[in-house]
Amino acid sequence: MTTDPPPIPPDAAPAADGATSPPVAPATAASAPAAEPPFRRPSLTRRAIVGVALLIPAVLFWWIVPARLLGDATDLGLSSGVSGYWLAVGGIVLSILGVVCYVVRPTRAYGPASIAASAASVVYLWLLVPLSHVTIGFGSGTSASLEYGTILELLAIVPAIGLAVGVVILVEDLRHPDERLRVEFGG
Amino acid sequence: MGPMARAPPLYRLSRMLRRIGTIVLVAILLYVGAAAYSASQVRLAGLDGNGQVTTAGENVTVVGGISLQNGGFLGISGVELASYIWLPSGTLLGVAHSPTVTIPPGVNATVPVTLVFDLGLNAEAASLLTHNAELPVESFANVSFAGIATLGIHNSMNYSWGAPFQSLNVTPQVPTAQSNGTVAFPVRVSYQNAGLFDEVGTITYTVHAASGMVCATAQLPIDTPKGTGYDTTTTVYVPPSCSISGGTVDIDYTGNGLAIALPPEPIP
Repeated sequence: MTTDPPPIPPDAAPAADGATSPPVAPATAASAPAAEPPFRRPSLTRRAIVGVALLIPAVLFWWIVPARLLGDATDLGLSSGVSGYWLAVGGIVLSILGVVCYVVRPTRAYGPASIAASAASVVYLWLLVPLSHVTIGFGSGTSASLEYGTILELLAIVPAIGLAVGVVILVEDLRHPDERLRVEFGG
Repeated sequence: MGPMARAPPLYRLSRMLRRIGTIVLVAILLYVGAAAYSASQVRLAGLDGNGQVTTAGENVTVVGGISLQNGGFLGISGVELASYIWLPSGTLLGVAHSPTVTIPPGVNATVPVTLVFDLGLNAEAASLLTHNAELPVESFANVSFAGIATLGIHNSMNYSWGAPFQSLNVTPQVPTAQSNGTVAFPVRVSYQNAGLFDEVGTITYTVHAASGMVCATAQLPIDTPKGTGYDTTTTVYVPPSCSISGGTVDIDYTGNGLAIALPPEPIP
């Protein structure tokens, strides 16, 4: 679990030990250290509350709606290679990872969390590819089967790009701690 | 409003990647939607049931096809048909197949299917020359839409095979002794052409004694359109040394490119 560093007040200046130093002539602008823009990250409590709220649409998107569509398809005589169990497991895992990404966004854990969420999405889609077919029987020995694995392979490009985003953010946060946070939560 | 930090390069890169991801997602969804709409415009224009029949050796080849009208704006590719026909015993009798066809948008195309019956495969296949049968058939059709989804259709049915020499009978009738010492045997040949093609050619039958010795042979020209029957009696002369009782009549048909032995008929 990542521990948030204490928030920096909006008017905070870079740490200066001038108070304890003997009075000196005011430094010129050229020699003074550049003022770091302040940022204020939302509190963990607030992020957790919003995260739980976000869990609802995430679960709807990743689990409930697909499971409902699967159930309706079954009622219509369509059989799918995708099981309700896989939809539940995958949907819940992806929903939780998405919420974790939101909660840890103002921390350096955001990069790894993004990588984990994107990687999980890619793996989830790749696992679904061999199962991605629907079959319907028309009676009298006729059946039709639609395979749509290529669509999932194409969709996997999107979290793959998200994976790259996570890596870039991870590197950025390692090389320049708090730089991203000042942009995202500054002012 | 507080001072805004200028976005660092890596952060800008991540933002750009995120936008690319969004654009890719939207593009994929639009393409899938367009492909689905385009696929919905594909129509089965017709079945070519009046297949052209050709015969060669012991094979009967039927060429048919289906017509597809691609009314969509994306091509359909990988259009392919295949059928497997089995003898009642489970032996594979014939395979019907089509070439793999691509149908561009707005084009009405026929996918040809070629079905080959190998009637010389074995005795059971040869029996199809003289006996109608219900043959199990499994058919498969594949169509690929816009390269992202493949529709496969599977059909199991029975094909009603009509024998070209249905109920063939070659029957020696009551013999009559001739003054030259031979025995005249009237032989009645009858059958119904329930097959796929008109028969124009020659039936040659050979009468064997029970010992296997050839007693007589005769040729009959035939011209039997499909759906009609043939019933003719001819006379063969057998030497007195030949006793045909318990023998067999071997029958060969030559015509339409076919050269095939029909199942032998026993002589009571």
